[in-house]
Amino acid sequence: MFDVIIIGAGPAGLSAAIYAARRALKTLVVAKDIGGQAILAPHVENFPGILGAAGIEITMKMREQAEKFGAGFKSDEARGVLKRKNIFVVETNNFKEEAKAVILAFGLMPRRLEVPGEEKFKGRGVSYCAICDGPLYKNKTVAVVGGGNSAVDAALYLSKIAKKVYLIHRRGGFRAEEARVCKLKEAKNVELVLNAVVSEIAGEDYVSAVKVSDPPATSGLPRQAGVNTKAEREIKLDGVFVEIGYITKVDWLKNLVRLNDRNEIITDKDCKTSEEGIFAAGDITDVSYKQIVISAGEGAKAALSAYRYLAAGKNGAESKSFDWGKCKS
Amino acid sequence: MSPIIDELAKEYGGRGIKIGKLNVDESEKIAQQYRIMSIPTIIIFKNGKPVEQVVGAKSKEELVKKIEGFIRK
Repeated sequence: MFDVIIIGAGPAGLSAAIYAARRALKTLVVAKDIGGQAILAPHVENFPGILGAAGIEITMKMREQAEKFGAGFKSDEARGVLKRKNIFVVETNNFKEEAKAVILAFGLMPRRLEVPGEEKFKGRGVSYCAICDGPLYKNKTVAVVGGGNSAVDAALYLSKIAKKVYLIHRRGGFRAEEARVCKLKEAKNVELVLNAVVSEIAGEDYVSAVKVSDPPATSGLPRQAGVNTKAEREIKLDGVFVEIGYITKVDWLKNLVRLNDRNEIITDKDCKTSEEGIFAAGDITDVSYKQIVISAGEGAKAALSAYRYLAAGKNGAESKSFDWGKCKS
Repeated sequence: MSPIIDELAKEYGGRGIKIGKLNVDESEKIAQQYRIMSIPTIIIFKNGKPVEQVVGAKSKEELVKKIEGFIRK
């Protein structure tokens, strides 16, 4: 039995682990990977005290720091949190662990295109991370799907590696910042495919083409706009980078905690959720601004709130008193 | 993923199983040879031949299961 189980190991989960472990709470982090979205950032320059470092470096140090103070890690994807009296059971496909309090910090997932072929070719030409997989497409032809900052950044990044980059966007204009779009228009090997949606990703063992068509009539987007597309056509390529934003994946919680209309976990200023004993932090919550420093701060707050909850003995267990035996010297 | 691979390498070190990592930036040709399209990709070789290719982050338990499966076969 743990005092607290933290689900997720991005900046929020890792910071929560550091704070919980330093309060001498028996702490377990359950996460399928370490670093979360932060590992996608090649240069982090706005984390106070760090002049510049890769997101992966910062989060690896956070993990090391959490382990140093005694937090344990188990790598697996959480599949459920069940409440039994005042105890919570966290389940994965491979194990079950119990805790007196839970901190949900599992962040966001890339939004899927949801077209035929996407699932089949995941990791075989379909990628959700241009920074991670881009270098494998040297001198190849790729497409980026999306129209926001992350899509434009991905296309720019890939234009320096790949032979040719198509940027497929369902509208005629970009949501991305103007300065970024201007840079993109300067890149000679980038072709814009506007007012077009991907209808299928095709290939045999690996991706070899995408089919694009006009946006469906029901979408309210212009049809037959004639900018670059005619009905359905095929683009031959080696890779498709999906950059259409992020979504929360909360269905597995089965209404354990209250969500807002964007499927984010509703928290109060102390990171408490609607369920006593369950706290939440970071991008999975309704907190404003998805930033590494904010998630780290929220994680710390969630851990301190969990500590206060356990210390008050509200979960029916004995109230937690300071254990002098745990002092190392 | 890397810490899990390191742990597995330690645990399987003395059992006739070699676990290693390949830097795809430095070893482009090998990455192309095995058609690596995504990181992390894990390939299990048995008697010198690739027998399974796993794409995406996996838990340690899942990887142990796969390795044990090939030991028994």
